[in-house]
Amino acid sequence: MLCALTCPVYSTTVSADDFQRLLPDTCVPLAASNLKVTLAPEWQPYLSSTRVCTLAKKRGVKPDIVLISVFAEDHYYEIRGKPDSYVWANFPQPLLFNSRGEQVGKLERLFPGDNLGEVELAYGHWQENIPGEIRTHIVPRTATGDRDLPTLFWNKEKRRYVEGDRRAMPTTLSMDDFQQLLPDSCIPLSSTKLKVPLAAEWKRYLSSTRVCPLVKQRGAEADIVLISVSPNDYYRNKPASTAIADFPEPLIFTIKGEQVGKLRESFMNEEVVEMILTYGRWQGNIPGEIRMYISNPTVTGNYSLPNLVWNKQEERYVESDKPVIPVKRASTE
Amino acid sequence: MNAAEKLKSAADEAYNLHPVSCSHAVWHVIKQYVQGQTYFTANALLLQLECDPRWKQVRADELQKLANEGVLIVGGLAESPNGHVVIVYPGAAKLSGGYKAAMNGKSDTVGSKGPYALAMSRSMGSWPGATSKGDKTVWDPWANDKKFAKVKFWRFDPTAKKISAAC
Repeated sequence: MLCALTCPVYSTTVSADDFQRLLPDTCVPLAASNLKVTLAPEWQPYLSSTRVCTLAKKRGVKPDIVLISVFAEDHYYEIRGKPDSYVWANFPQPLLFNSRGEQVGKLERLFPGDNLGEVELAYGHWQENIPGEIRTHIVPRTATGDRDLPTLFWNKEKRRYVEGDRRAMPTTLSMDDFQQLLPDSCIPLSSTKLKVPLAAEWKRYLSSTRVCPLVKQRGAEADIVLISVSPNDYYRNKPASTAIADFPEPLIFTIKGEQVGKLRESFMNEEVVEMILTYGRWQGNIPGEIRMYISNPTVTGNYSLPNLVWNKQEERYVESDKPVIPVKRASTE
Repeated sequence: MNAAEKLKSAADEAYNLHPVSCSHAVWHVIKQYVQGQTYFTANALLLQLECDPRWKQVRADELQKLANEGVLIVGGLAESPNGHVVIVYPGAAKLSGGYKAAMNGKSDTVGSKGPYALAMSRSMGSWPGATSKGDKTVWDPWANDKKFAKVKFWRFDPTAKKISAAC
């Protein structure tokens, strides 16, 4: 049986809107628990840094769901001083188990954090003794702003957690009223009625071009859209020998089809590079500011691009004076 | 020891001696071929290679063949604040990618972008593609086609003469 039924420590919870926050301090080492679950061989190197966290309804109530996650800080503390200890390991993703030891879900990011940020978990909307929702909130180590990952919902029929629709979720958590534009919210240009004048260089990529609305809130109409080639769409089903495409930079349009700005770099994820684009400081239905942070785990490192600021007089976005700022020193000199 | 074995030996030694500095690792190899070579950071070394006539630019598709002949080749890209440099490693070219890495917040396997020459690469960063003792390719430190298109490679020509001490 699960340690969940016998563990001495239960999650101390912080009530908020019937949701409770999972506190890392309440998680116990796997070895100190009576948990009997089958973990894949990829967990083997990290077992001594693996902890069990109970998702209990309240103190003293035996939980039906537990989370198992590698505590990366524990791992690095253990191996400090060893060669290559600075290399971020390929930790397995955290898993959720029920009281019968069956895996019922998986988290995208390590709890309570990874090399990119802190991960906060909240759970609630109880269905008897099972949290009906598990919410994940990311606090990045950089100044990019917080964000949410898709909520995990308990599916009664499947008896497991399923990810909520990324498109349906609020585009972000607020950060100074900024929202994050998620690539999943972008739709193929061909499926819209949008008429935008695109230069000839776009022609060969039109079937891979997507429209991303910059909406004030979920369900609202957008006055401003971003048009970007999706490299994933373009390279999908193409052989590996396909020549490297030089995609045109994303453009910003009004819904009337007037170009009002341009991005320096691709918005849609390109290989390992991710742009985290946030927008806010609304002026009517127009985002007054667009911020771009490039997350690049390779030797290039992370950096911020100059903000795009809405210029009322010119009715277009102009780059702020802020230069490109390297955020993380990834390589070696 | 033939020329390729000498290059491999120097690269292996550099890999073991300088686990967290690409420029020190590359410097170690260059010193085996260029007497009196001074240390440069990655960005400074790339500037040096540009102007020193003993270093001749080569194309990415020539790299493996030349390295297998024992030709010393340094590749790199200057970036702010720090660039990155590698040594082309003798052996059989292999497919890029194929290793696990933390990307966009989760662990995933880096996809292959075709065959590339092998690399000796070191880095203090955590990107696994930048740690290679001939087990990864010259594409992997940058792992991005657009970036890699900007990476330049220079082969050392011992018969050419250096014009001035500083260029």
